[in-house]
Amino acid sequence: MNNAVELSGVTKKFRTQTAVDQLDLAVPTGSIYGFIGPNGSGKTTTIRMILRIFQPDAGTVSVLGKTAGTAADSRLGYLPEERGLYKRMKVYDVCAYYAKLKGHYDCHADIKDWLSRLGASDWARKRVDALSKGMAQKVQFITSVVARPELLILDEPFSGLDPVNLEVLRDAVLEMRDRGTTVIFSTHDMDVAEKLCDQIFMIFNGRKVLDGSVDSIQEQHARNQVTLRLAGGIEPPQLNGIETMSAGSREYSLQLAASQSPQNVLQQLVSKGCEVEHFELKRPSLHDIFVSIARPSENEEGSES
Amino acid sequence: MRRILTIAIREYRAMVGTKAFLFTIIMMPMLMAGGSVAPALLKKMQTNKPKQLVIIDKSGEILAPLQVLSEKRNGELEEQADGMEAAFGDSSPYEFIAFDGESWDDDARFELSEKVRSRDIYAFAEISKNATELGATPEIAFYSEDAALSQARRWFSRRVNEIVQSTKLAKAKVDPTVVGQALTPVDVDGRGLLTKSETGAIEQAEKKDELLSLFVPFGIMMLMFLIIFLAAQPMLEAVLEEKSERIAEVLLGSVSARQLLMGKLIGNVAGSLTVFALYAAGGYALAAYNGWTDMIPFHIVPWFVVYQILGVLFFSSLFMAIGSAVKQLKEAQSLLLPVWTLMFLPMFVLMQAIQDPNSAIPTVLSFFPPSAPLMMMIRLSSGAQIPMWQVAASIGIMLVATFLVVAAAARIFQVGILWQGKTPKIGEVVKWLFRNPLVGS
Repeated sequence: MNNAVELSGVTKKFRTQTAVDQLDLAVPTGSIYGFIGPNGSGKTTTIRMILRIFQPDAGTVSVLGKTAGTAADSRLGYLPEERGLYKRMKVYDVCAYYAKLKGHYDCHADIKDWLSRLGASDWARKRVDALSKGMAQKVQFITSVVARPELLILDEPFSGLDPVNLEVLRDAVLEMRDRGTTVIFSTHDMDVAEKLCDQIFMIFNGRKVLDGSVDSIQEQHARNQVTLRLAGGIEPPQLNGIETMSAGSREYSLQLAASQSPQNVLQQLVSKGCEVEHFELKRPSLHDIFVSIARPSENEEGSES
Repeated sequence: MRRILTIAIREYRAMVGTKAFLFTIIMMPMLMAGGSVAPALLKKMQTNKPKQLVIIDKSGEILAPLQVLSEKRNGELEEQADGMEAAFGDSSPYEFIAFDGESWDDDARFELSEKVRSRDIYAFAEISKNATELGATPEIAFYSEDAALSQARRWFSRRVNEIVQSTKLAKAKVDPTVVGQALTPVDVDGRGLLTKSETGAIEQAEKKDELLSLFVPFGIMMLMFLIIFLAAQPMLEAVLEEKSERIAEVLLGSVSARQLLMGKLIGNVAGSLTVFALYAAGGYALAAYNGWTDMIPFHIVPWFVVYQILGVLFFSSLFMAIGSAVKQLKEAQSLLLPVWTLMFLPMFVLMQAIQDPNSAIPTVLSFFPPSAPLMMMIRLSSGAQIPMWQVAASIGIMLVATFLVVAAAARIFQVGILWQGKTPKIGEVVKWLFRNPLVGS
């Protein structure tokens, strides 16, 4: 499969401060790729390099097959977080303006189609500053997709949306993916990232710390924990290779020693005649993984204060 | 190129397609002219109630002719109800009434003062007995609440003087008509220098109107200022919005910073030319209606357009650079003050520039790029012959300066529009010209 975006050994500095350090990244064509990372980690800088707003100090940035050039690519669509619209322009005019800037001059039908699909047709002649937050977010989404981009970069597209509008926009993103558009999706919402993205990339202090499918990342960060429930909710017997055991409402959570395998624990339970009702290898959520990487260490916290 | 045009069209529409623009374009000249026009309009709205003046004429020779003259004036006022005198002068009829009290003393003066205060009469005056005696020093006093600035007092003073003079001349057996003819002042016309046409014929210089010589350069200068202000100020606000609303990122994801700046400037210049066209058409229509078209200095129109384009490019790019470097409008104010001051330098030497357009300071200021558009327009419209080489040199300097300012503004704009840290100091912004802080060292 071709890659829509490829970063190879990319470094970006602002004067002496390194924002992105030796970054390698490959975003497969037609995938939804989640960019996660705490504020100030280098996400925006990476996106700006993909948009050709910034040039890297070292390494190469290849976007839709083009590595050179400072000019922005008209095959890219970009939605910045919450803002990005002229408040005093009318909805239709701002959509047409952004489409034309991408070289899509015959854009009337596309604008009409998107406005109708996202339930915003009645707002076409209204000024942007008259829109609700959810409606403005939809219009912003339209401005990023109206020129039929091959690569779509969305920065927090769902922030502040109610569940109904969130569903509408999520379907629109999936539809773009189904049409063959590659979507780079920057978010702090780990739940959305986990459900929507094919692959996740996490940047921290300018360096890549996670890259892969959600399953593979969770597998890599599994902490050898199992959840166990025995018939009648009784307490599990003494088992070898268990470091800690904590009780939940009906289940018990067991932290296995590094050398212990879940299969061995299950065998011990069966051999001791326990009737196992539920036995699950516990996988960390993306949220847990994010927090465990991005949480400042105690020393760092002390030094900051 | 088409994308630059797309940006230019949006900028043009954003500038001229708003109600605020229409409001400003109508209101600005009104506000500027308001100081002189508004009082005239207000005056027109006033009711012209007759002003009654009580006169104690001890000479017995002045009141009667004064009453005749005031009746003549009142009659003329009715005929000229819409004239300039009616708009700017005192358009109330005057009624001179003889004092009918028993004795003229301080009690009588106080009583009349009270009548003035209670608006029963407008003023009162006393004329001494010897007012028309040859060699005497008469005492004439005019009492009113606004005696110092009263137009009625001025009229009264002029007419009493005329009556006193003619009465004295009659007493001396001199014909007042002859004296009047002998004392008629002689006008000295101000004329420009004679020129030779292409056919070799010597052409007479036009007669110069004093008021016009002042009004035309001042009006032209204010028009240039207004057009540059209307063009440059919205650019600053637009860039601030693009920066704070992260519109700049979307735009720079489609076009380069230079293309964006170029598109904006083209739209801005087109907008400013629209303002000029509107004012020029409005001004011409007004002049044609009043029969003043020969007062319009048509020969300077091409120069005006050239200086306007250069001035708008110069100041708009400077304003965009400032807008991109700050976060809020109030932060921009301190940076704007020196720019406006430099542009407004010609105002401080306005009279000198009009009276002696080829003297040192106006000449130097017309080569100094920030003040050149205003100063050269004052000089060119003053009617004096400005050496052609000076106009060419001034435009040449402006061209180079505008090119440099646009290039520098593009550099600052490129950095500033993406600058998210704390607002930089002016020294740091200047450093951006030589070293891009968005590039690693």
